[in-house]
Amino acid sequence: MHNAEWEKYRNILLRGGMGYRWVSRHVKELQDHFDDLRQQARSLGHDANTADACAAKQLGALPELAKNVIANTRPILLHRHPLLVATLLPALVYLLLCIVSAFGIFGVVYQVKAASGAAGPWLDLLVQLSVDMQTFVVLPLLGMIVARYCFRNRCPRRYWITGLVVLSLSGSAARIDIKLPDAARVQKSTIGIGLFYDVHKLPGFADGQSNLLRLLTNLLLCGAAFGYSIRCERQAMKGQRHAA
Amino acid sequence: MAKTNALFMSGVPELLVLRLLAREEMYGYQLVRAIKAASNETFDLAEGVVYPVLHSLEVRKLLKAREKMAEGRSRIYYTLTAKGSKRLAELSEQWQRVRDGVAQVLGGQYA
Repeated sequence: MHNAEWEKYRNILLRGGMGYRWVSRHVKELQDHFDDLRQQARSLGHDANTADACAAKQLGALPELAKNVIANTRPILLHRHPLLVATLLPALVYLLLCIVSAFGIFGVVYQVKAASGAAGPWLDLLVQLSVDMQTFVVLPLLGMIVARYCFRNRCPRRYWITGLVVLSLSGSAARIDIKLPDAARVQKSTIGIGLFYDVHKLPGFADGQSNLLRLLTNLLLCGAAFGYSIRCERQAMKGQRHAA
Repeated sequence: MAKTNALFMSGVPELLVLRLLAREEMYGYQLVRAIKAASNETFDLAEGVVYPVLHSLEVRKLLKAREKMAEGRSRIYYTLTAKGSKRLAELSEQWQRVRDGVAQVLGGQYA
């Protein structure tokens, strides 16, 4: 049986909503089954070509088999609710991570201040660094996970490319504002997390910088993550074809 | 031998698969052959029936799959879970009732 037929079978299953991991395992299992059938035919004295034909006949038409598998299984969540999982969930996860990290940073800073009694400039730097990490590390990482997961599971592109744009938009609008307690200025500690969109000015950024700049950065990072994940995935598929 | 009619056999493959896997863990090809051998070639279930059944049982957590090396190749072995054993007992009881009922009709006053 040709690699192209196995590839087609794999694609039917993935597009039918079967999970990537299961499909990879199942295709390998079926290829082994095919090899066993071929060996069985060879042991009966058939030549290689006839053994191949016998094994293919015994295994049955792969598209029919795929149809049976899909009919008997509930599709994965991504295929049942692509709009929710591929388009909205990444942005929601990002905002959740913003909240968690804001409280995390605040907790650390508060503890350090309570222990040392004084705040050094490095504490402000730590806060700024952590906030920047959201944009430059967390967002592209999340974008990469989304792109890879959706591409692997053959989710229609319109959903997850929109999802990456929504992620970039929410990433550029998300604002974490942490104020450290300062006895000298009678300033209490506060944490502010919100979505804020101002094309002309953004708190936390120098004058002249804007959400638009962040949006462009995010889109660029998500685009790079998208390109990298697709490249990795294509290489993995090529590797699987060679192994087969 | 002709392949067994899948529609007529609805429900039976599940019982056969659970029964054979209760005895020992097996991989797909081994299971197809075991069904044929254990039923004296009465059932020749096609792969198109066995694999969807295996997958459906695994999703319902009645079976557990694990990769294991055998004869120099890695194989996916299936084994029954506790839930699977319970389901097997239920199905066996149902099947006994159906068999007794059919036997009554065939051997009773309508024979």
